[in-house]
Order: sequence, then structure tokens, then C-alpha cells
Amino acid sequence: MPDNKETTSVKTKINLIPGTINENDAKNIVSKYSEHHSVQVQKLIYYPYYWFLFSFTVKTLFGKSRSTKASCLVDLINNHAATTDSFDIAEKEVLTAGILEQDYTQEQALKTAKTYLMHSSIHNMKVLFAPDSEILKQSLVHKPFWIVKCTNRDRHSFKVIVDAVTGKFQVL
Amino acid sequence: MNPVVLIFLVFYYVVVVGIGFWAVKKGGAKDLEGYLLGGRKVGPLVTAMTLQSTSMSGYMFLGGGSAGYTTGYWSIWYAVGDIGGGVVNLSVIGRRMRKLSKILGSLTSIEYLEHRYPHAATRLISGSLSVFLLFFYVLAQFIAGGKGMALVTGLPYGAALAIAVGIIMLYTFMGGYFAVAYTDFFQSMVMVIGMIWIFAATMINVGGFTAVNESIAQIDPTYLSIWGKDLANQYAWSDLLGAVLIFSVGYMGWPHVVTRHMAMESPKTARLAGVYSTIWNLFFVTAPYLLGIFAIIVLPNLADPEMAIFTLASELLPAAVTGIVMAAIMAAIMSTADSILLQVGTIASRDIFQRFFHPKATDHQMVWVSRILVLIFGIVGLIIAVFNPPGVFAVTIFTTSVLGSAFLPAYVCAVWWKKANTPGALSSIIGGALSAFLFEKLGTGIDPMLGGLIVSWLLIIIVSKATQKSHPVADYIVKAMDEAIKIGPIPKDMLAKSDFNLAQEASGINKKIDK
Repeated sequence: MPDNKETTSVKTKINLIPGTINENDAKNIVSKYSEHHSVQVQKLIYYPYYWFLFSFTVKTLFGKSRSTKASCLVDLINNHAATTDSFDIAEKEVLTAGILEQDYTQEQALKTAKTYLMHSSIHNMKVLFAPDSEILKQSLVHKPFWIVKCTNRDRHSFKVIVDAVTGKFQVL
Repeated sequence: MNPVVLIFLVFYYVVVVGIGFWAVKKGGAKDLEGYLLGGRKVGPLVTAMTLQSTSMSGYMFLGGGSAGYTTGYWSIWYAVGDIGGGVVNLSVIGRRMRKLSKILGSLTSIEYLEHRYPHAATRLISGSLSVFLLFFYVLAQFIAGGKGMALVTGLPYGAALAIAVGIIMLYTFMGGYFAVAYTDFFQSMVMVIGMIWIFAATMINVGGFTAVNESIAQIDPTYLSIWGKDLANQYAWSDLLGAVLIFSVGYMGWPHVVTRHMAMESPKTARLAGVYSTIWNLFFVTAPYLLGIFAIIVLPNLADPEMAIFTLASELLPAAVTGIVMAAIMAAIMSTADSILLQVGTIASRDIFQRFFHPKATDHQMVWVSRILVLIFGIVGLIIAVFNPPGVFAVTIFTTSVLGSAFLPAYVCAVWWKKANTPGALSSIIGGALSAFLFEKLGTGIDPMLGGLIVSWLLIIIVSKATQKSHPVADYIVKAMDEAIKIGPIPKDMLAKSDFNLAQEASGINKKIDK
């Protein structure tokens, strides 16, 4: 059985959405909004998603619309979907310990993505016609997040995740 | 019938249809894809205009004008509540609900209620009640459209109504793709121009507020009272409170309004949205009521008070401008009606049909259910509006009272009170709706909104407390609420700038950390 040091240095190849926010950037972003706190970047983690690129068209009273591409990421821990901007994917070796385990399968993710797109198209496009969709590309991808810890003078602390791709953050 | 007015109205419809056609054939810019698919937003101006204009409906032009014309300055109580309604709504449930719905993965407001108060009955009752009540709201839009069309075309009300309903249905089915972003924006521009124009023209005609008040005082000084014409509501605190509450908090019961909270980007944008909506409401919410009051002077013998603003336009404006104002009114009616019809279609297909009758229903089957339901609504609405049309003001106030009484405590407690459980929420929804309905029908002297709210608040508190042991709130919900609330030593700025869209990732990471 490998010792702890070996376990934490094991690497795995994953499809990564490459981030431009480095450790120092993450620290600066959080520090900007947390004066009087000591800010410490704890680790980089990789969040699992299933990515689908759909092409779809909608029938309207004026005929069929032009086909449109919709990029959809399904969070494999919560099984929630969201549309997304286009992004690059790079194959990269990362520390296995930083990869979060997925709780949902590709099949479940596809169902969620289709339901979400259907809902979005009906609501936001106000269509009463079901869109015809086709999957152009799909892949298991991971997105990097920095986990940053903030501690105040009373030693109360909280954690923040910083999206290493966009620099946006959320309190944990 | 004035041919110039008609030509302008027809021209307006041609432009709307033309934009739809052009947009479908052209396709859209990349940013619009994101907007339409819910991922991103178009520019702040378009977003703000579109959002605010969807809140303008046939009620504003017919109901608001009618209330001003018949009760005088008493009607401003309704506007007072409405002006601050957006901010109250955003502050009380907006921010927390945005995060909680994201964490729970809810796509619709009805689904959100079921996720927060887990039981099949939550969705069945909430969905059915919403569909039933929203139908009446659509009915009010049909009647408003029919009356406007009758005035413009000179056709009998029945025929004009059929044309108006036909146009609304066509518009609903025409929706799709980029057309929505462009037509919504165009419609909102027409509404803004039309409202400013008619208000300015009427103001000039009556000679300003002082002159109008002096003239009204000569007709009947009680119009100027805050208690209404003939002091009909003197010391009727229940009615006064009800009038303020109806649009200040009543909106929190509207499924299509609550759904908007689920698309906010960050607390900061929510705050900005609140500021914008208040500025907008200061003019656009009060204007219809004031126009109704001005009409007391300009049109002292009006047979149908709901026609006050329509008639002001045709009396005071040049024909071409009247056409624009009529187009603005039709824009308000159409953009509200199609949103509600689609909302109803979704609730019926997703929250009722798929959830309870056909869990394996395909997307196409669900869309068919939506379409058929929209058609049925159109036909039934048309029949009721022809044979027994209720007043637009009365229908809107009734619908808002029942929806607000039914859902407000459930939505508020969903994010503010961890002990609010399923039996509490269900009893509050049923009891609130039923009591508001009974207070309205029995004429007890208690305002339906106020009475309904008291009953539903009491029910959610008493029943939740009484059933804590048998129906405790699940741990994962309490945890999700904690995450949505985020209390602790966290700097305000940090919370304000946090991105709502990362709430689900934060929840996922927390789950893994806990493991």
C-alpha cells in the first residue's frame, strides 16, 4: 500500500478547461474583498462536468430557424445543467487527489442537459414547438477551482472557491 | 373607426411580425444565443427594458385608468405598493431564493416549491392553483385587447375580441428564437413612447396638477381624498392595507415573477435591478392611475371607466399618435399574455402532466400538451370574455390576492425559516387561497388580500410547529438553506460580489469536503 506522500503525488490525465487564474491571482481576488483577513490559498481542485455541444433548430410559423449551437455543462456532483460560453479543452496530467469524484453518469447527464435545453428554449425563446437537437460533441471535462481560506483576527474563518477560468468566486 | 389610427395599428403589427420573420431567417448574434438559452444576458438597456416592460399589462392601461377614474386619488394606494414592490420582492426573497434554487437545482418556481417542501402534493396543488388563477389573468388581457380593438376598429365587442385573441394567440405561437429578444425590445420601446406621449398630452390639456385638482374639487371634492370618492373607504384600514399590499407583496405569489429571481447574476446586480425598477415604477406605475384621474375632467360622461385611457388617446392626440398609443397598449397586453400563456403551458406540461400522468413523456409530447392547453385557454377565455366579461381591474386584483395569499408565506419561509415544513406550507397554500377567495365572495368587510395573508401566515407557523416531530425538515434542505443564507464572519463586499452561478459548485465541493 502506497504511503500518504505517494498517494498525493499520483497523477491522472483529464480533459481540462484550462484556467488562466493562478494561485497568486486567486489570492488577490479574494484579498480585495476581505480586508482584515489573512488569506491563504489552500489547494487547486478539479470539478467534474459532462459537456455537450448541441446543434438545434426550432420550427416557427415562419419556417425552420437556422441551426444554432448550444454548449451545455452538466455538473456531475449535483446533476444540474447550465449553458456556457465556448471554451478550450486541453488534455493534462493533474494530481489525482485534487479531482472530485463524480456522482452521476454520462447517461444521466445527457438526460439532464436535454431537459434543461428544452426548458430554456420554451421559456426564453418562447416557443411552442419542440426544438430538434443533435449532439455535435461531448466529453467528460474538469474545471479548476482554487480553494482559498480567509481568517479574521478572532480566528473565525471561511472558505471561498475561485473559478480558475473566469476569476469569479463564491463563498463555501 | 378612424382609418389613420387603424393604419398605424396595422403597421405596428406588420413591424412586429416583420421583425419576427427577419430574425428567424437571419439567425442571431452569438450574445443572443446566450441570452435566449439563459446563460447570459444581452446589454443592460435591453435587459432592463424587456424585464420592466413585461410587468406592464392590460391591467395598467385599463384597470389602473378605471381605478383612477372611479375612485380618484384613493387609487394611488395601489401604485404606492407597486412602486416599492420590486425592491421588497428582491430584498425579501430574491437573493436567497436565487441561491437556494440553484443549489436545489430547480428550473421552475413550482419545482422549487416541491424541492423545498418535498411532497408530490406540493407540486400538484401549487401547479393546479397557478394554472387556474393565471387563466383569469390571461382572461383579463383578452378583455383588455378586445375593448381596445373595438374602439380602434369600430367593430362590435365580440368581433373585436375575436380579432384581439387571435392576434395574441398568433403572437404566442410566433415566438421563437431571436425574434423574442428583438420583438420584446421593440414592444417595450413602443410602450415607453406611448405612455409618455399620452401622459404629456393629457397633462397639457388639463393644465397641470393644480388646475386638475381645482377642477375635480368643483365636481366632487371627495375624489381628492385619500379615502376615495364619497369617502367610501373612510377609515377602512383593512381595504387601505390590502390596496398597498396587493402589488407590494402580492407579486411574490406570482410564479412568473418569482421565476425571474432564479436568473439573477449576483447580489450586486439584484440591488441595481431593484433601483432601476423603482425609478421606472415612479413614473410608469403611477401614470395610468393619474390618467384615470385626469379623465374625470376631460371625459366626465364616460360610460365604461376601463376605456378612460383609450378614449383620452383618441380624444386628445392626432390620429397617427393615437395609433402609436393604441399599439403601446396592445404591446403591453400581448407581451404579458404570451408570457403567461407559456408559463401556464410549462406548469401544466412539466409540473402536472409529466410529473403525475406521464413521467416518461418525451419533449415533443410535452410541447404538444403545452400547445393544446394554450389553445384551450384561448377558446375558453374567448367564450367567457364574450358572454360574461368581468372587469379587468376586478380580475387582476382578485387573481393577485389569491395567488399572493396562497404562495407568499411559503416562498418567504422557504428561505427565512428553517422550521417551515411540508404540512405547514401545504396548509398555508390551500388555506391562503381558500380564505382570500371566501373573503372576496362573502363580502365580510375584510380585504381578501389582507385576510388571506393573515390566514396563510398563521397556518404555516402553527402547522409547521405542530408537525415538527412527525415531519422534520430534511437535513439536506437545512444545509442548503444555510449555504443560501451564508451567515458568519464574511465581509459584506465579499457576499455582494459572489457569483450566484457558482452556488451549485460550492454546494458540490461542500458535499465532497463533508464526505
